[in-house]
Amino acid sequence: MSPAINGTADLSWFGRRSNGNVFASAFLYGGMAVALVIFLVFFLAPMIYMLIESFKPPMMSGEADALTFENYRSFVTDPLYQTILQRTLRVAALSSSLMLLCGYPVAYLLRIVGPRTRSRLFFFVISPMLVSVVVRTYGWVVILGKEGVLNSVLLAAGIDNGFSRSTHLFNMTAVVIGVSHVFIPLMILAIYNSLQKVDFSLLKAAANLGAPPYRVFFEVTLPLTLPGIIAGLTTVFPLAMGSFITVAVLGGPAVWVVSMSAYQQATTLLNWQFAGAIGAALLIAVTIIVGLFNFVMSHIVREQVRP
Amino acid sequence: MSTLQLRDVSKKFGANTAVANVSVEVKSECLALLGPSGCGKTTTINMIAGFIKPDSGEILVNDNDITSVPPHRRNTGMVFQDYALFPHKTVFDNVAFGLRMRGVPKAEREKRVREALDLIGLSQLGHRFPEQISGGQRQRVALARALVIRPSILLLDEPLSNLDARLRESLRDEIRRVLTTTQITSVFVTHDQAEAFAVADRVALMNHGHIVQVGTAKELYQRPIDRFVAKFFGDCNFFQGRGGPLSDGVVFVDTNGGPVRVPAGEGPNSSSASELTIAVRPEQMFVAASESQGADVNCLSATVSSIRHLGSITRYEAALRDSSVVKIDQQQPSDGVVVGQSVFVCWAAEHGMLLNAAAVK
Repeated sequence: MSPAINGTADLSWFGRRSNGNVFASAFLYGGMAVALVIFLVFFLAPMIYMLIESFKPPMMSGEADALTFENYRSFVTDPLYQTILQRTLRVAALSSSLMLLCGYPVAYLLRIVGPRTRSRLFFFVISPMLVSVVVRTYGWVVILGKEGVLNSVLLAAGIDNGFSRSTHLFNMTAVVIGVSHVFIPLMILAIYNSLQKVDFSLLKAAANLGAPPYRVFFEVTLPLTLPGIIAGLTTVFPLAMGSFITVAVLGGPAVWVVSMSAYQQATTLLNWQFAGAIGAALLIAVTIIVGLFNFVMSHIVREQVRP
Repeated sequence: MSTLQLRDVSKKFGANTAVANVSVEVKSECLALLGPSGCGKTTTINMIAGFIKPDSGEILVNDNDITSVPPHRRNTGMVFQDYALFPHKTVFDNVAFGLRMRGVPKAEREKRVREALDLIGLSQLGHRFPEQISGGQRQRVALARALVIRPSILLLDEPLSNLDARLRESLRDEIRRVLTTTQITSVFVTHDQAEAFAVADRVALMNHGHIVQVGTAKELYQRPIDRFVAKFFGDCNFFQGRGGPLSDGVVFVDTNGGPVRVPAGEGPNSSSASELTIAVRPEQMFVAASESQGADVNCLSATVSSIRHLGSITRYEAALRDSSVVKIDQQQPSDGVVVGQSVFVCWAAEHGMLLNAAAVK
């Protein structure tokens, strides 16, 4: 490795083609090989396996292993699965919206406070992610249950009615709250990241030119953070579509979603083939929605936020 | 035209006093706030714009107290150091922003934006986005954006410091031209004295949160009130001594290097029989082999300690009899003067500047 000449750092270690330096090349290609293996084993192989299975006839049908669209046909034509898919979309859309509405103010707060307060607040934002999803979800059971924290507080405050005497679990609201709570840190981080790039002098300039605070927000801050909002939504929406434990615990059979069907088919009914088709259908649905969303948003952003 | 008044404005950040009892009046002119970094000039302009609330004191525009008016209702136009153009809006929309916020109807808005872009010579670039134009063009757009709203006060916060030297000079002249044309009351913050003198009608020199002296370029250069001001505008030699009798507007001062004469000036400076400080600029002095005779030249005996030729000037350093060192810049070197030689350092009495005795420490 030649020493840096004239103060120019030698960057060949970091992926640039190194001039036939054996050690650097071996390091580079070795690393790439490891990454490739990890990618194949942990990401591509299970996906391919699932897709192959989904094109096989159900194991219990006793038919020969000829490839068939039967699993997809029954998923698409069965009105039950259409209802479930719609419900799943509703869970994902509602919780993504809630995460945006609640996450933006938090991200904004993180942006405007001083560095010490910020690192403390960041700890609170990140800390739920250090706890298992199951534990976080059961936290909501403790709060929303019939004898839970919410009802205890209401009763202690003298509010004794049908509402404070019944459970708040096993409905869409509980599921949306729970799912939002699980994924909101990702939304906050995405928005914070784009807020960080907004120069505060732009907000001062807008105020100086006569914009009251709300117009500063809608004219400058919001358009400039659209990329962060898009990034946040495209991150949390698929996660919300695929979320399982939170929905199962807080919604139960009342809020049955696609992932629960896949789980049931795979583990209870041992119909891996149909479960694979459900998984693939979920993947396709998410890809189409996120793709469309990105397509539309990139046009809006190109209008509003030049690169 | 508008009048801006600051009355005893002060601001502390924690234990640090950023601005202390600043009082100044600006009326249909450009006042430069000049000073080293951390002197409080940026805090002052931010208080005028309303971004920082003063701890005490009042800010008045046309005799209306605006101290507690929020920034968006102050009708000030500010040009920022880093341009602060909205990256997601075109040049045209950037300039139109303030008019839109004021509810100016579309037709008039477009007319005024076009006029503003014409004023800065960028009418062709209205459809471009800020990142598609050069730094100098961006700052001109920022200037147009601040002017198009017809602000009562125009605030310029180091508008030239992000530009390279050549652009800085041309934009400086452009700002001067626009300010002269519009006759707008403006405050220009800078740490560069050449900029301050080129753009502003008057300059307020600030240090440690105080305005040390306000005046035209000539006043500050020729009649500095203390050592800080004298040194800020170039090298200076200082002589201290007791003031003697005053006659014909001239004070005799018995300095440590010998007796000298200095114009008495006006006001408290002329107080005689007290400890006085005289400042003389190196370029006003000369080295002579023999003492000049005459009432209008001061000569002190000294020993040459170094001679350096610096291109257009020759710099001498000479030690006075109390071994304090005097710097002399001469355009023509004195023939035959060598290091170690006993000489006289001389200056015309009128070039001596009597500083405020109170500032002598």
